[in-house]
Parts: sequence; C-alpha cells; structure tokens
Amino acid sequence: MGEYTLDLLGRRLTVSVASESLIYWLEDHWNFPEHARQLVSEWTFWLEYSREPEPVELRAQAKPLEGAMNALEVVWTDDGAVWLLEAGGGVCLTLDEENLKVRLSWYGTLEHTDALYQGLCEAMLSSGLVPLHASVAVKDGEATAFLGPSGTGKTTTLLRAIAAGWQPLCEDFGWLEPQSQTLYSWDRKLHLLPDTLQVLERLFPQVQAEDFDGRKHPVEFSSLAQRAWSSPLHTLAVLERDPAQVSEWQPIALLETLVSFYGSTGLPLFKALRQPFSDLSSELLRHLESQKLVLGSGELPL
Amino acid sequence: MNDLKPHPDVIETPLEGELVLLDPKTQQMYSLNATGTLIWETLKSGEYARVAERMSDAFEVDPEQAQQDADVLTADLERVGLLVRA
Repeated sequence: MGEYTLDLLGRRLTVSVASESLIYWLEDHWNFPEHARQLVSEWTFWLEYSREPEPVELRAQAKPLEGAMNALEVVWTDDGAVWLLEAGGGVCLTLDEENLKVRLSWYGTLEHTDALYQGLCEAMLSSGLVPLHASVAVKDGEATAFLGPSGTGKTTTLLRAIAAGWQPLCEDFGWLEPQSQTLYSWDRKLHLLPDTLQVLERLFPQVQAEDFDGRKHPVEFSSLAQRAWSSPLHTLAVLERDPAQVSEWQPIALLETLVSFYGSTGLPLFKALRQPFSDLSSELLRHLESQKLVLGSGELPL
Repeated sequence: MNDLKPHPDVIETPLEGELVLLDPKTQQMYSLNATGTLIWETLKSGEYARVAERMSDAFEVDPEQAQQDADVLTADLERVGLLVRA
C-alpha cells in the first residue's frame, strides 16, 4: 500500500509504506477525529518500516526504560538517535528540531508495537505536547487531573467524581497543550480492574461493563455521563490513599506536586529536550492550582 | 582547588525560590534553598574559588563559615552523583 497520513492534534504523521494491518493499528490507537482541527502545528512525524536489522551491538548497551508499562529498553547512540527496543521489534527515533521533524524507523510486527507506541508518544512530546497519565474530570468548565502512582485510586476517584456530577474527560491518558493549558483526552473507554469494577457496580448499578478483555473491563464513558473530549486544565490533584485520615482536600507543597507531575508525564527520551521540558513544567506548575486529595474515610469532597 | 561540576544529565527545575535537581538515572529529586542554589550556580560557572565571597555578599555570613557550608553541600552532592569531577 502507499503513503498514509494521520492528524495527531495538528501534527502530521506520514507513514511511507503502510500495510493494512499497520493502518488498522494506527487508526485504533492514534486516530481521534474528535480532536480534528483543534490544534495547528508545523511538526511532522515520518514513520517508515525498516527492513534493516537493528545494529547487533545495540542490545548489549540497552537499559530498561523507567516507567514504561511494558518491558522496553532504551539506547542513546552517539549520533543523537534514541532506540527503543522490545522483544521482537523496536524503533529508532531521530529528532530534527530545526525542521520540526521526528523520524521513526520501526521494525517488528503488530505483535510488537510497544516500542512504536512509545516512540510516537516521544514524537508528540518532542513537538511540545505534555503526556499526562491521569484520570481527569471537569466541573464548571475546568478540568482537574487526579495524579498518583498506579493503584492510588485514580480511576476510583474519577468514578466518584462522575457520580458527584463531574464530566469525565479521561481515565488514563491525555495530552496537555501547554500554551493554552488545554487537556485533550486520549482514551476511548474506561478500563477497570476487577476491584474498581465493584466501585462501578456500587455507584452505577445500571451500567454494565464489557467482558473482561484479559486485563481489564472496558466501560463506555457515555454509559456514565456526557463526556468532555477537551477542557482547560485548572487543578492538579495529587491523590494520597490513607484510611486513617478523613477524606479531604489539603494544601500541598509545590515540590510534592512536581514529583507527582513528573511521575505522570515521564521525562523526554531525547536528552536535549529534558531541560526545556523541566522549564516548561516549572512554568505550568506556577499557573495551575495544586492540591492534595486524601482518599480516606467518609465521602470524597467532590 | 575544587574541580567539581554538575553531572551533565541533571535536570534543574526552578520552583518557588528553590532549585529542584532531578537525577534521571535514579529518579531522585533534591531541593536546594537559596544558599544551595547560589553554590550550585557558582559551581556551574566554574567559579567555586569565589563561593565564600559570593555567599558572604548575598547572605551576610562569615566567609569562613560560608566556605565550610559550601564544602559540606558539594560533598553531599558529589556523594549522590549530582556533581562529578571535571
């Protein structure tokens, strides 16, 4: 098949020679027509399928990628490229900041797309968007992002917020456009672990989750409330699970918010982008409200 | 003579009058107050020989005490890998 293009929040992704199965994967994971024409950018991403094997010395230099959901390894080469490796596949990323381009050279099969997914995330980040692993809900036109490590209660808090009348925006992941501080959802559905499913059944007894997909139970946002696809981000709410305390909002030190924020965004893989990203984070935290939300005893103050 | 300099991978985040240092390798963060930030900036500019004078000017501390404080902090920062030998 020939060239294929996709709009990613205003960034243009071009796939040089796309197979039907690759297009299907891209459409499934990266095509959000709900965000079409919302952002404009000069950045372009060029994805090509590499028929070259990875350099043999790469695996020996590879280090585990911190914070990656799956087992990925990373290698920084002297020419400034970043390699993301997984068993059976990988992607080589090169950044051309002057011409606002990221080239992704990918090899593997569609069973090996973790590195490709992470590579596309890095391309988006390189273009100035901030990835945010958080559950997010909107009240009175302003979004609150609930932050915390896995298992803290992000999804449960989102469900409680929806039950309290908030609009859901995302359950796991969104992109923050820093200039406008607008958050764009990158989730199609909620995905609930079995214990969170019990919370759903208690709060929304009329809602039926979809069948267990091997890891989680998918749930349509629309079955819970009218969802928001984007919203100005107003508050970073750092979650703290502590049954010994009463559930309440508390003030939080900016340093603690920063730790949680970095935990939710990760750091750029391109080392040249790390200090600018840090400066951007500092600026964002100056403008956003930040609070701690203690998940303790009693009703959440939502 | 002090030949320490910031590790090239360390990321600095200014935050409410403090400077937060992040070591990407360990994911550890360290926060420097105004005094620590001045010491860090002096190291970055390669002028550690003048750190006592600068601290004395900025914070009205005794230069001898300032030098001792700076040496203790730089030793700590080297121990955790934020400073390396040039």
